[in-house]
Amino acid sequence: MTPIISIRNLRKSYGPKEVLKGIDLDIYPGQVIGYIGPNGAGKSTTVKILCGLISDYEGTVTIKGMDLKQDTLRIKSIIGYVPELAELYDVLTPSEFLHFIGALYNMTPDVTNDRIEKFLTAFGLKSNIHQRMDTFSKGMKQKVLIASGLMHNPEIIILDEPLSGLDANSVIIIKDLIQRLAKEGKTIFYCSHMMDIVEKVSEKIVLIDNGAIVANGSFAELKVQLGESSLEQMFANLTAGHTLTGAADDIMDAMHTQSGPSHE
Amino acid sequence: MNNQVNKFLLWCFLLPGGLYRKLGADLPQLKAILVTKLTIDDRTATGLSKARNRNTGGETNMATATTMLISLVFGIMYLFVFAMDDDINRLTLYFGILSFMLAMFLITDFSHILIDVKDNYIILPKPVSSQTFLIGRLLHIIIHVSKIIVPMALPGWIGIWISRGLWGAVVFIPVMMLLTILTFAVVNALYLLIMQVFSPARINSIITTMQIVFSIVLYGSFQLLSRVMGDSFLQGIDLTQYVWIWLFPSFWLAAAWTYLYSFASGSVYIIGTILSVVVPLLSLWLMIRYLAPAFFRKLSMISAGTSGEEKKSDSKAVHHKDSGMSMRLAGLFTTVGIERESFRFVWRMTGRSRDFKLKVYPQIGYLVVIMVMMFVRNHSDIESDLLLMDNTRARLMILTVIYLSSILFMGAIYQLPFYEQSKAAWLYYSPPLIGPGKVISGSIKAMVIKFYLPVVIILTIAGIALFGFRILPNLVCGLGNVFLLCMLYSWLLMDRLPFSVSPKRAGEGQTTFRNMFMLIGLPLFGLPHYFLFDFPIVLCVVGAVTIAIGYIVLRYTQGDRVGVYEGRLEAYASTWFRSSLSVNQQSGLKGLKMPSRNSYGIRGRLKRRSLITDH
Repeated sequence: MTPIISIRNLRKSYGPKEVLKGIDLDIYPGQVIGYIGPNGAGKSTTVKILCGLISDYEGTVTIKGMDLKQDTLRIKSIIGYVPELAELYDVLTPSEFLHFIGALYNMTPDVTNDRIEKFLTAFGLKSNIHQRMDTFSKGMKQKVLIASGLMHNPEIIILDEPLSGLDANSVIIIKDLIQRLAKEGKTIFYCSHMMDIVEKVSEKIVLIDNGAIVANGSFAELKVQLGESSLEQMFANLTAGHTLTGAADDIMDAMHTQSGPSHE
Repeated sequence: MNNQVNKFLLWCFLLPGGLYRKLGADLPQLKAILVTKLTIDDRTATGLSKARNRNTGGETNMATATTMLISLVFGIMYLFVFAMDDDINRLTLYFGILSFMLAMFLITDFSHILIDVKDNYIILPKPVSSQTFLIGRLLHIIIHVSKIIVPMALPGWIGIWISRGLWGAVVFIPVMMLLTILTFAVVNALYLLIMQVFSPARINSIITTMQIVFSIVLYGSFQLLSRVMGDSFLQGIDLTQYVWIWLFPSFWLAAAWTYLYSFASGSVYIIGTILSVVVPLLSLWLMIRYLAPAFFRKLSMISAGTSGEEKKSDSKAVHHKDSGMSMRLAGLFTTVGIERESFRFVWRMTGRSRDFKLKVYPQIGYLVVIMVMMFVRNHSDIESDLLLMDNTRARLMILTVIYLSSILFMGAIYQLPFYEQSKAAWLYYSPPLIGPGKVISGSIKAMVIKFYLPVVIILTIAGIALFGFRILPNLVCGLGNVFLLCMLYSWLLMDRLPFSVSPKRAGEGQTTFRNMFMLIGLPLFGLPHYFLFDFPIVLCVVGAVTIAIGYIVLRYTQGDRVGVYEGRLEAYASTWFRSSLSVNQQSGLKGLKMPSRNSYGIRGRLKRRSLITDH
């Protein structure tokens, strides 16, 4: 099988700082990739490159046999992207916002209309469809964003912390949705800090640290390789080393400090 | 009506659809982008509507109509130039004012049109070609500019038509276009310069400063205009005689219009015409060729680059700047503990909150303008009887200046509770705080030191410099009265904790209350003062007494003398809690009986006060 996303020696620097130091990665259709790493590891840079937001990278990214730099538009139209922070024009209503997104994907208004209604009903936002989003909670905005990323029925879905702000029931819906999407052959690139969910939904886990891949494989494979029982433990060992347990001790100490250098 | 305006504008600008398609744009996408952008514009208060309006925050969907209306009103006001006879003179002035106003509008609004980082997340990941994106952005800018310049120039255009006939009006149009291009290019260059000099993280605060300056200049220019209009300004002066006038592009444009209108011979007109055609077009070319690419590079840096280093160095600079000062002042005026911390908190936040600065700092400017204007208006008297302080007018003027200075403190304390991220106010309610007394007294003290004390110092120095030491008793009494008024006002108003209420909740009722308070309070103290003007000892005694009473009010706020404010904090907390809910949660609360807004308003506060003093 040919990979749907193929990344070769991907490098990217901001000024003198090299954020990605040669990433090699193959992703196959229908796979759910858990892309994890500590803050500043290069996760969102990778995502931005895959979405076509950053074009001045080195190395090659091939998606469905097309080069990302050459066929940017065709690639963008098969990708659905759900950004990390609730980045949306919140003076608009969900309906206005999603209609706009639909138009950008060249969908017909009828189809867009139909899908908006179905998406928002499923997310329990039907009654808010014509309210401005500046009054929405984080979870409500996140649902609108998820709808905006899936509405055009993309083949590849890039999720950047899609569960932030969602309540437990919505989390169940999204987890279920991810599995259903994968079954239908969609490829999912899932970026998150929530190890337990990554562990559950991902077929393959890619751990990056300092701009390089430090672990890559299914959860079972990684368990054997690294000899740890949970993804959390693997993550800690690979990215922080021994410093973590020390930190908890220090915090406990700090709580019990009675006197110290005076404030004034 | 608003939708019609947008629809019409959109229709106009999408007319050359074939051209856009030829340039590589996708028309349905282009239309979608523009519709969305115009809707967003409509619902975002910007520029003037923001600078002039104290109560933004509420839902607007009339921003376009408001901006256009304001521009039109300005345009009508500038018609005064038509009182002048000479075309060159009046048009030089007119074009000058117009391009200045346009520049101001653009400077304050540009950040939101050009530096909309959200575009990068929302539009760029979609299959939108860069041509579509760029043409969309360009058209958005052009529509935005025409929303300002067309209504503003319309009255002048009609004026020209009436006074100089149809040909004059026809010629006026290309000249206005050149003016717009030139102004736009200059603003663009200015932005680029700002971006070059300051780190992306600081740009927003620079823009805030500019907005503040804008509103002050605007206010000042109106005060000035009302003077100028009365005088025979520029009358009988031949501007063409001066060499320096060539530094003003509005002069070239005026010359160009005159040349095109009457084909007047003379090198002045020809050179002016050439300059006003060549310079804008050249700058446009420069902008497209060099400035725009640099601009977009910088923009992508802002969005991509939230790089940690910049943020770090920035916050470090702030840290070093004021902590020493606020520490020392807090140590001098507050007791250790909550009060001191809240003093420092308020001191820092008032210096850093964008919203607060935008609302309060212009008032400092207004105050300065009013005072300067007062002296300008009476400048002929300054040397004579005014300085002797013995006529009615001089006395009234001195008292007006002293009592008006309270505007600053009252305006600042009014704004104190409002903050965009009001949810952060959990910090008051989570710790075991007994009552808000110390927090409020600490805040009021910080506000006094920051917004009242400087006034005292400046007025004292200026007063002594102008009138000598005999002004002192009046200053003591006047500033004492102002202090008492400010304390009373804070005591009545501070029923919300600092930076704890979303600006959307800024109630109209409180503005009315402030105005009423000043309308009644200032004369109540000012009039007796006027009659005591010549009794220095009485003045000093009254001043001392009012300062003492003011201090007692402050102590009272602190809660030291009235016992524990039991239950009060809960009231604060429930107001805060309600205001921080999202729509969904609020609709869920509909059935629940929540205390009405009124019970936490001023009336409710007075009621609570009386309850508290009862036990």
